Amino acid sequence: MSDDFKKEMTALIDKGNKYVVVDFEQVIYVDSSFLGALVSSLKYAIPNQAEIVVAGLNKDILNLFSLIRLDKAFKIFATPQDAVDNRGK
Amino acid sequence: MPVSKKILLVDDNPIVLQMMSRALVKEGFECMKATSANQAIEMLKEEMPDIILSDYHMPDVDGFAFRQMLIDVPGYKNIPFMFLTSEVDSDVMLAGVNLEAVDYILKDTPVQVIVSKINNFLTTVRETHERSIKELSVAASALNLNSVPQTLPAIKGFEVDFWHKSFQNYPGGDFIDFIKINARYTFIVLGDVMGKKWGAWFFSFGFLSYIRAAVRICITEGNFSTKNILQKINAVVYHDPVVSDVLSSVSLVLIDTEEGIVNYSGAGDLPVLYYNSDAGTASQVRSAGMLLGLMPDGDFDEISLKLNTGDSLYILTDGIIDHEGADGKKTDYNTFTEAITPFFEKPFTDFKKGAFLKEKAIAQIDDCSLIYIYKKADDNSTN
Repeated sequence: MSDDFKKEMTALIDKGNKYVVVDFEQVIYVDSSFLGALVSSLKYAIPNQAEIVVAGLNKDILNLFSLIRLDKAFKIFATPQDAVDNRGK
Repeated sequence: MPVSKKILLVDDNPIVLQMMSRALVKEGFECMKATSANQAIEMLKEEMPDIILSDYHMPDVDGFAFRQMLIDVPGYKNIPFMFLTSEVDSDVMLAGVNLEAVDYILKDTPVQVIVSKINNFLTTVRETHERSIKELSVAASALNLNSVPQTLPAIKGFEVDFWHKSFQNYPGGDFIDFIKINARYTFIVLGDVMGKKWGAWFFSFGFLSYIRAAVRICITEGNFSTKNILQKINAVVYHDPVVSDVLSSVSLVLIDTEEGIVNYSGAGDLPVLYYNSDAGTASQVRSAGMLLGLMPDGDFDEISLKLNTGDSLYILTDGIIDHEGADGKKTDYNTFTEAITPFFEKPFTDFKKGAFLKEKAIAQIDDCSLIYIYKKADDNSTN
């Protein structure tokens, strides 16, 4: 599953997308495999001048992001719409 | 018996599908039902069964073509596959076997026989899988590859212990290392390579080697700064194309027995829990560093804690704070704090034997590691 996610993200960036919003609104739990895939997607995005942001994190996932400082690596938005509206701000 | 027994039934006849499903559910199986190969392929995108039972005679895509479609997809190729059909032609049966189908069951076979065939087969799959794990584990131990130490360090004035459980008994992505420099200084390393099972396991040794090397190089240079050591490891990992895709959290602790001080730096790790015995309070100690290899500058810091007699520190990986409740999996640090609180003034072995870790061992959501550092009363022994 996390491999598929990583492939999908890589493909989006390869297509030239410069702003990718990962929508967590339907997500209740993430494991370390997924976080690994998300973070390695970010490492792929940076040299391609692309940005990955996250939106709609539930309380637990938001806490986890803050606990392990992923909030310093990803911009976090309340909703995907917020992420779209605030692009580049 | 395998823990999970999920079957994907594929048959264009809804009545056969319903009957077969009802009979199998009665025998404790969970059934996914598809009336065509294409529908089955769609279902596989959402959910993976333990075995597929497919009809041979179906319009559009027949059973053989369906089998071929599965063989062409690496993720589906190894799902055990059985043909269920009224076909008695031996050529057709042979063709089925050539398509790596596990078995060929005639539809008029009594349900009990079908069930026992499936059960036997799933048991064989599980046993083969367990044997492979065992063989790889034996190979790993022959190569002396251990991701956790075999012995505890003896440190004057301190007690250090740990608890570790790997994900479903695969040697996991967590690694622990104790590096005793001399009577005064001991380093403690807890890392978590992101990912599960074999990939993480192999990489955890790579990372362990990086960290051991970096720690030792820094020591040779007379540098005992945990922050500096993490910066060095980060720089190595970040610029190394071979491991640039792998990310790992690390908690690095240096115990200084002379000063009774513990220095701590972290890279994307969970906060360390610090129990102050005099005050009777526990607090999270958070480091600033980011995951190893994520950014050129990991933003590391170094926190110094003076431990007094009775104080303890707990270093943990995320498996410890994951738990599975009625409403699904969750990640919550407070569950750990609440569980450990009654044990602050008790021996760590009591907590190791307690319900919380027992539950972790059974739940098996992820690798779980917990390191315990306790400041004993000052003594004059020379260990």
